[in-house]
Amino acid sequence: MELVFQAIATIFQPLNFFLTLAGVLIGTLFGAIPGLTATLAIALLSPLTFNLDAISSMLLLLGIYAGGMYGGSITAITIRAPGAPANAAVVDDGYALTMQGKGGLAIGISNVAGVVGGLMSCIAMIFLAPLLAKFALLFGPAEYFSVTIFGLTAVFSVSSKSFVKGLFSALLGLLLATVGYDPILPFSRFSFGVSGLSRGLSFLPAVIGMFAFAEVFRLVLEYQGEEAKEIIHVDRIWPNLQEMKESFKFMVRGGFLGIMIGILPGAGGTIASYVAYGDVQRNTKHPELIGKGSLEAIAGPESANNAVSGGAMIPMLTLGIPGDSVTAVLLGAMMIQGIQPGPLLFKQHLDVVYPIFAGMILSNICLLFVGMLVVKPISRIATIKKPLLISFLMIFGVIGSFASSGSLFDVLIAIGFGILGYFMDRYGFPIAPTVLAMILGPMVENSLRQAMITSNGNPMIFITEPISALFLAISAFTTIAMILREKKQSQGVSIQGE
Amino acid sequence: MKKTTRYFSILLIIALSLGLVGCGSQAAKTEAPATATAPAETKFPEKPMDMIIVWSAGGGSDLAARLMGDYAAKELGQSFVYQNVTGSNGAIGWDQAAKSTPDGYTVANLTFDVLTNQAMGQTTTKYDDFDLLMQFTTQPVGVFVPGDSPFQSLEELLAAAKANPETLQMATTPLGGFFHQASGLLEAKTDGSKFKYLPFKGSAEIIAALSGKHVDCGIQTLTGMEQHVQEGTIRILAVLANDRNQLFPDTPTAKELGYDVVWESWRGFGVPKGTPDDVKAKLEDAFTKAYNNPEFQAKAKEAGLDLAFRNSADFKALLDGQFPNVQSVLKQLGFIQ
Repeated sequence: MELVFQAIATIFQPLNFFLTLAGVLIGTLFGAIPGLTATLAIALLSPLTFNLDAISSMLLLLGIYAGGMYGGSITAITIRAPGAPANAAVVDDGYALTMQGKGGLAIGISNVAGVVGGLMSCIAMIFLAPLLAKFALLFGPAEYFSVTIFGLTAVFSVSSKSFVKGLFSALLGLLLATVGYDPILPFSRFSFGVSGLSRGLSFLPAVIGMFAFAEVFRLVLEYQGEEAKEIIHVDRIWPNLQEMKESFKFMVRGGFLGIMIGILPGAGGTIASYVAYGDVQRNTKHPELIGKGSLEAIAGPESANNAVSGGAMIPMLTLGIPGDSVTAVLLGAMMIQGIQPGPLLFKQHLDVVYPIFAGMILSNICLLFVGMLVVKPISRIATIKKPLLISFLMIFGVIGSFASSGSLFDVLIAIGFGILGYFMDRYGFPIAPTVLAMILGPMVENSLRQAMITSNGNPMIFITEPISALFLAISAFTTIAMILREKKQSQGVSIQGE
Repeated sequence: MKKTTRYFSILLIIALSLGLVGCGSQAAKTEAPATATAPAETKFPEKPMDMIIVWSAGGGSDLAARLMGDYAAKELGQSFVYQNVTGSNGAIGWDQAAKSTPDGYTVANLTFDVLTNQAMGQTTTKYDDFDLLMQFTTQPVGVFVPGDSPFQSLEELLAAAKANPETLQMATTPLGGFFHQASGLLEAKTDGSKFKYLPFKGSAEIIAALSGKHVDCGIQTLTGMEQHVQEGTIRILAVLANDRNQLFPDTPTAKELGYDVVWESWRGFGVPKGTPDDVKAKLEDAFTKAYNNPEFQAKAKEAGLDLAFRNSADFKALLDGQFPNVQSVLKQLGFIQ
């Protein structure tokens, strides 16, 4: 108990408090600029922390982590360019809200959701860390395969009206994910001798292309001159009681989903936010708003991806196994400071663990205030003239895809995906399944092949392993439910037609 | 008519972006000869230098290179601009580094994989395309089993792998890589033992698989394994090094047990071949001084780096010695003819 008070006193020391706040601000800014990510911010700043003591530097980095997840949603909502793949789930609804003049409100909801999800995951981390870490270890290759399949079905069942088109999009994404290095053998595939392709299609440029560039092409091709339509500008950032009541439920549900998915090393924020999106779609009272500006559809995913941060900290701190790319960088930064995360950390270094917990809570509270600072100016984006907006999208798209790896080849990839995204959208193929499949593709492939090696080529392994069987059953159930729903709807249409 | 205008504007946007991309690569090309002809003076370095790191930002190799680089930069009075050029097991970054202007302003972080890539024919870049500066770490590896594994010693494990070939699951990184090579050498010394390989993305995943008992054994670098061994979730059977390791003083080397397998991974630095001698000398001197800086030594120890120094000549000798072995083990594993 004494250590807890000591921890609280530590984080409120002026320097530490300042570093946390600065971290959140830096994280939000890095997250908000497409192409710059929290991972990059942490990697760039960790050498600067050599001169700080271990706890101060951790506080700075944890602040960045919390800010980054939220920051990415800002550009997803305002200009359709998600700051990180984890924010891609809110693009449709967020951008729709911006176009309706409610961008500020959407960002406000995202902010509150981020704080709720973040705080929930902190609590889970504090009380359940060692227990949850054991749970994570139960996942072998077969289980990972089934979880990733579950993530994929979750997204294609929610984001498309047509089962076949959704399936097509997801499979296209899986196919594109096979470009580059083979996960098992040391050879690159489908690179056609192009060195830029041999490392695979980087997914951040792909995401920016499919969302932002496709939007540029759409705006240009469908430009009808400035419409005289009156945009009702909603100056409000904070949701009113009614909106809060409806969204809060999904923030909590998203938080739980985020924690559970975050614990599994490698699964990360992107699956969590799409699974939460699916959850909202199935359970909302306003299904007609989904994809067209639903606040709940922002609350769920944004809470989930912030909750992943606490979830991913659990295997990192207790096992020394990072759950996502940010925690991988954090792990490195901790080791530079002479702290070795792992099973002994909780036994020998509670003096380090408690301030980390306290710091994560503090950074989530800071997030609420930093969030307020940035919302106002951004919320007026819908009033910008279209040609100007197009230019901004283009500039940010190019910068974003370039900055992620410093390679101009990635700008080409983004443009290519922009063209692909435009045509997919035009012919009713959902984009989200392709994006998620590209991210999960390597995991699906790797775990499938590992499991098949383990079982000597016997696919029964996915059913004989109980956890794996459970996830496959849920996936099958979701898929069948979707086919049935579609059938019912098409029957309804044909009856009306008669 | 209007539609044509629109399509035209789309084309224009794409053309502009392509132009931008083109300009970028053009600039890189035209710049090169200009600096190449500039006489390299002993005034080197007059501006910040680039360091190309082929592994992703924040990983173990990246942190090690940045730490060493920062202290070397202090000696040189300029800073390093770190670039993570990742992909193709490092081949892309090393290729870029080897082809950059040999003026000392581009330093490449080199790791063991440069030998593997060359032996595999993954790249046209050879380690000979670099003038080596120095080696600063070594990563000794060991053979690990889950805590409750029935195997109490390396002999038992190898005997079981011989009795039932290709049934025991060994966790490695993608096949053909450093860990797989180490295990291949072990197999070769036992005349008939064979493991079933389960490749994972990296060390973190291998540790998880070992603690979660999803594999029977695994080869792993020693750094960072102490805790898991102390906790009892993972046990170490042997170290594949010349000498016992300070982290696990009670663990025998494979050599002591009669299997002559020493497989050492390393990190070091090099510059593209053709860099002027005085510049090379200045760089090697700076890296050596930085290595001997007690502050660096302390930081590196905190970060869990296994420091090991070789100067440019010894480093070259190490690589020249290792390369034929890499080739022969890859041949044995069936990757090359």
